[in-house]
Amino acid sequence: MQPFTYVSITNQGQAIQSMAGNDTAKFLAGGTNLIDEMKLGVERSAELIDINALPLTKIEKSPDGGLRIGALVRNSDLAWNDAVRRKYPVLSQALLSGASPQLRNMATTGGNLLQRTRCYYFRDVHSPCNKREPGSGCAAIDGFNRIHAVLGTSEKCIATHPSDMCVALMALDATIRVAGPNGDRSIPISEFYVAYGEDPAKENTLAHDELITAVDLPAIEYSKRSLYLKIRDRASYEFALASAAVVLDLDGKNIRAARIALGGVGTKPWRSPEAETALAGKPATNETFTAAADAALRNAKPRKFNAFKIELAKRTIVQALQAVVALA
Amino acid sequence: MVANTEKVTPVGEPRDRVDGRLKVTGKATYAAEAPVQGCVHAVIVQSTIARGKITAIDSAAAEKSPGVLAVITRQNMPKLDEASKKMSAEKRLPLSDDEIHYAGQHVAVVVAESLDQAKWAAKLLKISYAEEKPVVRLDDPSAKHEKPKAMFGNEMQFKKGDIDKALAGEGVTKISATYKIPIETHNPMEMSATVALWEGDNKLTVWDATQAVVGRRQSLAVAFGLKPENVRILCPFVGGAFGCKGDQWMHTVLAVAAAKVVGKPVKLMLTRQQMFTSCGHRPTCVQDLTLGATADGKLVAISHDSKMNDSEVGKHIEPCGHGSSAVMYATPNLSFSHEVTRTNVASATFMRAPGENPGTFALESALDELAVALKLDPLQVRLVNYSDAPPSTGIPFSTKALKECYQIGAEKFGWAKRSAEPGSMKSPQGKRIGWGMATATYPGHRFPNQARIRLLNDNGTVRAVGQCATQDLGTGAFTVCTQMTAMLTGLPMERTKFELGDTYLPPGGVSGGSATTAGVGQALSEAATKLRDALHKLINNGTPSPLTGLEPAKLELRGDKVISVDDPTRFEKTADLIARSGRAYVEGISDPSPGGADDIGSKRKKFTFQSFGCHFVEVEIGDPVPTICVKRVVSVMDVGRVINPKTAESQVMGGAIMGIGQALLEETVYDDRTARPVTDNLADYSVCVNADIPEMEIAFAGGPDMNFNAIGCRGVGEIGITGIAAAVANAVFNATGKRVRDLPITMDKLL
Amino acid sequence: MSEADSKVDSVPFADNSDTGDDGFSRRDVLTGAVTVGVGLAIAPLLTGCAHDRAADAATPALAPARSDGTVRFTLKVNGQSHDVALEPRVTLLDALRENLGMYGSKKGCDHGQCGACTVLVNGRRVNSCLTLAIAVAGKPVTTIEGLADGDTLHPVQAAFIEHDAFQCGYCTPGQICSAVGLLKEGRAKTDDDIRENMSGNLCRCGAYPNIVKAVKQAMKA
Repeated sequence: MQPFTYVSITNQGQAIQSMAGNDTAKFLAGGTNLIDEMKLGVERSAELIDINALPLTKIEKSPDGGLRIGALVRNSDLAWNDAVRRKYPVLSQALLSGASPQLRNMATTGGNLLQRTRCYYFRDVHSPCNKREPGSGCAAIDGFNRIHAVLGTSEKCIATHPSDMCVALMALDATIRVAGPNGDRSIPISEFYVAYGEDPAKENTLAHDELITAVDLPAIEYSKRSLYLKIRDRASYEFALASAAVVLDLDGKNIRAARIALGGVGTKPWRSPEAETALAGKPATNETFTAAADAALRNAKPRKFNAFKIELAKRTIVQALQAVVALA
Repeated sequence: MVANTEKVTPVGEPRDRVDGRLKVTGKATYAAEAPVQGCVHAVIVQSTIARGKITAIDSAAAEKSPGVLAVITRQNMPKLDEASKKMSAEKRLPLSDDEIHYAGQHVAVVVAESLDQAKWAAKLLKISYAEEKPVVRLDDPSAKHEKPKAMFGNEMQFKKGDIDKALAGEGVTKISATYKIPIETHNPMEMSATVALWEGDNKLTVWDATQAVVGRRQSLAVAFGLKPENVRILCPFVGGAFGCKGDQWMHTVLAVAAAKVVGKPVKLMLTRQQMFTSCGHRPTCVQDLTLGATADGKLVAISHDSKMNDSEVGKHIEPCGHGSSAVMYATPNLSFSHEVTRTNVASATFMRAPGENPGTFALESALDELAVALKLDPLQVRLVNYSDAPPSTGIPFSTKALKECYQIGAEKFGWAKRSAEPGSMKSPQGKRIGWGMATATYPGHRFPNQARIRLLNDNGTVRAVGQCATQDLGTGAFTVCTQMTAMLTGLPMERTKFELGDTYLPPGGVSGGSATTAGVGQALSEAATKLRDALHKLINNGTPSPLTGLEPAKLELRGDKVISVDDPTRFEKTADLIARSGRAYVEGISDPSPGGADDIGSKRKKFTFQSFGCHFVEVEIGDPVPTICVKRVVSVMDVGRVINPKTAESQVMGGAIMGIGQALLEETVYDDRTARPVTDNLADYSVCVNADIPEMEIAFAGGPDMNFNAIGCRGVGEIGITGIAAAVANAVFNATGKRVRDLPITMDKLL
Repeated sequence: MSEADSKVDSVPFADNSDTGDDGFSRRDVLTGAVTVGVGLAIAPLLTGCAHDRAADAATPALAPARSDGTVRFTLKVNGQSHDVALEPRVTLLDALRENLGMYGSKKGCDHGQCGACTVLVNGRRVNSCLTLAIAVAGKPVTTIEGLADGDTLHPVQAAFIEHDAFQCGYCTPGQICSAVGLLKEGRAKTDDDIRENMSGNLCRCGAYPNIVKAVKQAMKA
């Protein structure tokens, strides 16, 4: 790693202040992504501002019946939280499907929102990459792209968003609470991530000197009927080839409403209104599920090595829907 | 052979590892943990292009970086003796010219006071290249191909009988297919590491993660122009190897050179990423198999042509056909060939069961295809073609208990209940179940070893120390050699210890080819005979003894006593005999090998030493997403005498697990355009995790192979990874009706 | 533990005193090795036990960086406090190994992809290769060296030996620390739970089924 200075900060205002105008500084939370990328040379920061001592570690009920999750709540604590397991099983399952117990003990809610792609070429500083070095080109589009995205891609970048947690949050319509030099603001998760268009380096709408303080989960009457299905080559400790977060409002054998988000296939955690529309008001049958899956992947763009992901993602959606319907 | 091998002995008992306590307490020290104070750190810089030339290296920024002691490039690399090329894994010496043969080739070494300083300075090095278009694929029109005649004296191009005629015969069913494996990388958990310490210009001590301390002594002595006796290699523990620490790789030489340049002890550990290009891999293998058989499944012909890749400076051949079709089944007509294609991909090397592993994947898959074509049970096809001698040589197997293995395995697994119709077996949850089996095989190898057994009088308690400069890669060598020493001295294990991993000890061979136990066991047995002779001399040195006058062969060491074989009531206390020597110990050292009493070469003219076994595998296929899950494995092996069932089971199990990873996960992908490795880390190169592996049942069959060595054991380290990938592939076929002939069998191939 | 196991501690090569006047001169060679290194001792960083200043403070006050970029702080490992002066970029894993000479924690990938470096911080298992040493200043760190109680092995350690839950032993300290963390979490109930919750620790030798047996046994203990 390049030499850097380190400061541990206990006051939120101070943290934001020390980031202002300091382009080479980064907040350090769990470090599972940042330290990794600093070792690779993908991330080069001259100053790390350790925010782990900030009091952002609580999970609290919000007045509207939802949950407020502090940005520094560790992935393992969030996954095993009683309220989360009871009311938002999809989130608990998504978290537990990610990384390893050790990494989940380190990784934070806020950090996970900012997780960077696992694109081989992004992580290799000797390959061209528009995300890492804007304008240098994309090695993945014509390279080995088995793990890459089929949704939300551009001709500049096809890197997959790697998070599981964010896929669940996407399905749950979470809100990201942010503090900055000009005060606090809330960003609906649907507006937090930007699809890779002209500037793949720009992944979200967070400003450099803004600090994620919490994630709000809204109360969703039917969110108990939810699950996360993650598909990958090996059984654990691996990123998704495809995943589906499904939340279903079931009325007997009919679907009143559905929330569908996909992981492993999009350049951002991928909500699929197309699939949701195809499910709403329909009987919970394999025909309906297949139609929803087809709708979700209709605009997918395959590349040389990842074309299989389209069929895989469809089947993942169908399997997830079958399972969520089968829940007691 | 020493008479007391049949007596009460820990050999054959499932003993805990003698080094277990060190390993579970963190006290086992691996190469990078050498007790050398004041080590500075070396970091290797590697080529980012795969073919071309270095045109300039700008090291100014790196040299100015804090803590940096040296930047070593071709310009200031200490001169190495050209003769060491012959003793290295590669034909080219490191940092010897500007040529780049593959991405990941070492181009510089940065040495600094701290590891972080060295790593950072390494990133500051600016290297300019003149890049050429690399050759990546075997079918690249510009690629050069070679057909090697022999490997270690074994024929690589073989023909017996007339394949075409046999295949054209009446009633002959022919199946023909191509099987592929990608480049697979060993990835032992311990990265290769070296600590080099010079004392003056002529004396060198090196801690190296190696499978061959004696081999490293020889190769480093030659490279640096030293007398071998002034080079000491230590390797008390190795964090796994699987072949990638067998040969002389360039980072070891560079660590020693760096220590010379900076005049301080140097520590060098490859990064995980560097492990993918710095110490070999199993090459990609493309195998064309043709089998012909009559309706009863009897083979009339096997044709097995293998193509593989290696770098321009590599020396490896993956002997696929030689390791499988040449030995496994009776066939009147047989041909196999091997072709090496030179690519701009890092050098290949031996990886767990080189040849046998890819060879059995192809042959055992093909036999399954034949069974399907003939509507025969796959096990029946194997039994019909059972052979008592390799079809290539006709020299009979010394022992072979494969039929017993099949029987035990089939019974434990419940093979008789298998439904041959693909997709017809279902789990209680309605998922598709598939059963597959395959034969495993690995030759009995052993290399020259010399051993010492010393009896010590420790305040009246007799203790034994066995010694050989062999290695424990995690195989259990420490433990089984202790057990054999205990057996040969008649002492309990608690009073026996074994020392290895140090060239100070009597020279041992490479711990490769599953050869350690058989080779060291032979040497220990000979040392025990010499020890008995030494005791005989003490008995007859003039002091009256109840054993006076007995021939050495009539004496037997039974721990605290030396007895008369014919009349065990006649004995003398071992401690008294040691005291009589006037020294603290009595010892026996086996003859230097080769050239001593042991003559394995002439035995091989009479016998083929070969282990066999089988795997039975159940897989479950998800629906609608075709996830592949291995649910059950039963493996039964005949490896001759089993010294320690506990460690031997672990070896077979570990081999099978690595084979499951090969079957379902592992692939080192190279970018077609740049010839650079893409999946060169443990997140992208997937090996099995705990959750991938079910409970497994391992069993052994057969008995000692006393023609092979005095102990009767063949090796057990590699056979577990043979056949298993085919067993998985055959099970996947049984579940899905899809025959996947290119590994790994990922779910996208089942969509 | 049997007597045999404890005897084995003397097997490695630093000391062969029990072979007495055996004519083996290898000790001389080793002494030579150490002598050469003495002049380059890493003493400044290896100051051993020191007054436990930082432990009480919730957020340890760190001394400002010195001219060479190092910062003085205290690492609290296995109940012992070590004053160190390290650059902020030094990971906990490298600090343990290269600065404190505690080699029990292993480097298998240096990127959080294998688990060999697993230690417990505040009683929770983490990857020490992705943890900055300075970020755990004053926090209790437990490594493999701190699990046994004198000669009495931790139940997980004993179970690993009994079930042959390792071969080369290189992933073992991480596996064991991870298993200790798992037991403490108390969430794994079934064999499949153990498999899943031990999947952050790769074992290339393939001891997984035996690791499951060992953890299960320790769970019952």
